[in-house]
Amino acid sequence: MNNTDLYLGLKQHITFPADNTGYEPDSEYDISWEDDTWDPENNTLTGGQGIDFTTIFQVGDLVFNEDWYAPHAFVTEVTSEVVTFDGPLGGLNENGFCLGTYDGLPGPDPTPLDVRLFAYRAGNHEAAYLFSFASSTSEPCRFTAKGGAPDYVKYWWNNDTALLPIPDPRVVEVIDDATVRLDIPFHIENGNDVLIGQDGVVQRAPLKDKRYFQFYYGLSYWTMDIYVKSLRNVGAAWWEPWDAYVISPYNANLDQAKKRIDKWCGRIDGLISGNYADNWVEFDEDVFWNG
Amino acid sequence: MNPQLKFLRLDYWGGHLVYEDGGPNGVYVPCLLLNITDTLFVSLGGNEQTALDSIRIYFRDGYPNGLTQYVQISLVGPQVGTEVVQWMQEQISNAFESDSGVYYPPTQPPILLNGDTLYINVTQ
Repeated sequence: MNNTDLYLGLKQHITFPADNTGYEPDSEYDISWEDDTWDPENNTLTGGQGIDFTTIFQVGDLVFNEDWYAPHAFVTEVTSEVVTFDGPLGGLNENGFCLGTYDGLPGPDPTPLDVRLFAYRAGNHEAAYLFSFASSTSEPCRFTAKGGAPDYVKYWWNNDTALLPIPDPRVVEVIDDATVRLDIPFHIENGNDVLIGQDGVVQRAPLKDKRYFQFYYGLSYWTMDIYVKSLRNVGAAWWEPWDAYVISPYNANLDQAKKRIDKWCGRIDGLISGNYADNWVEFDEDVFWNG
Repeated sequence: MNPQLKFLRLDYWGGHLVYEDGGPNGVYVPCLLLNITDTLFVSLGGNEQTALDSIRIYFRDGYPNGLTQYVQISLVGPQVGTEVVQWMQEQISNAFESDSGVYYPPTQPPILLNGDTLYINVTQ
């Protein structure tokens, strides 16, 4: 490798269509922020849709936000109008469910997103941690084979929407060739594409080919922080989706974003100047995660 | 030193690189790092019969079969003159004359750039 070979390091993913059959939640609730309110100090959800919460939640339920699944919480008390949890639910704050902050930025404040809560009964908590991959159109999984198990999974939504800034669930146990147990509850809809990957495996893509990448930095409603978008247009197709990789902080402000921008540009500048021996820029979650 | 690589950093001059709208799916892009390594020329894009609504950065190394490849950055409003194209051309020239691989223009563009709708395309 010589110093004209500069690379962008991207996590290596492959996609699998996911299957939640057998691991569905026992109950669901669609929050409407026009009617419902979340109290972040007391971790209570007060309903205003005229739905009796006792028909949705039970004490002991494991509950999490579909769109922001970490952290999860357990129901400690439920009445017809108020359900109380033992901790915060991922993504919910005093504004309801808003991703990112817009401090100092032009444009209106974001409108809270309506979200869905999943509840798993006390005897069914395990189901929240399990899911399978199955598809008649994909290669059979071989998770039990030596070296065949993924280390983490991640949503992939089949569009240009950036991934949410939630930790990758870690695989803690391989149940069978197509089923894994994760370290945190995780939900997918059948047929969703899920990225799976192994630690330490990255793909190196040449920086010097201008047609391959443009780099977006910043904030969005989906709180992307750094977004690498492939622009290669071979055969009128984008690169495979796992080539676009997003790292985001939770509610980063603009100052935090600027620091990351500076750090990243400095790294690229250093690479171009030949100041580094390793010749590549690596996305590092530990650097970018907490701002 | 790698003279083959040049990046143009389009950044946060008080909101001169913005997203298209503030709606739920609007993307905010305070910084866009354009790879301008192989830039051939810059022009306005859009329909000349109506409004010129974008900048196109064409690349020397084009698509197969003689097609040309460009990155298009939309403008927030229509542009009747060529000031923004001249600005972009100057920044690209400055970038290649600078020692830095990542060039940060010292002046803001004369019209808002819409970094949300940047895309690449090929043309005849």
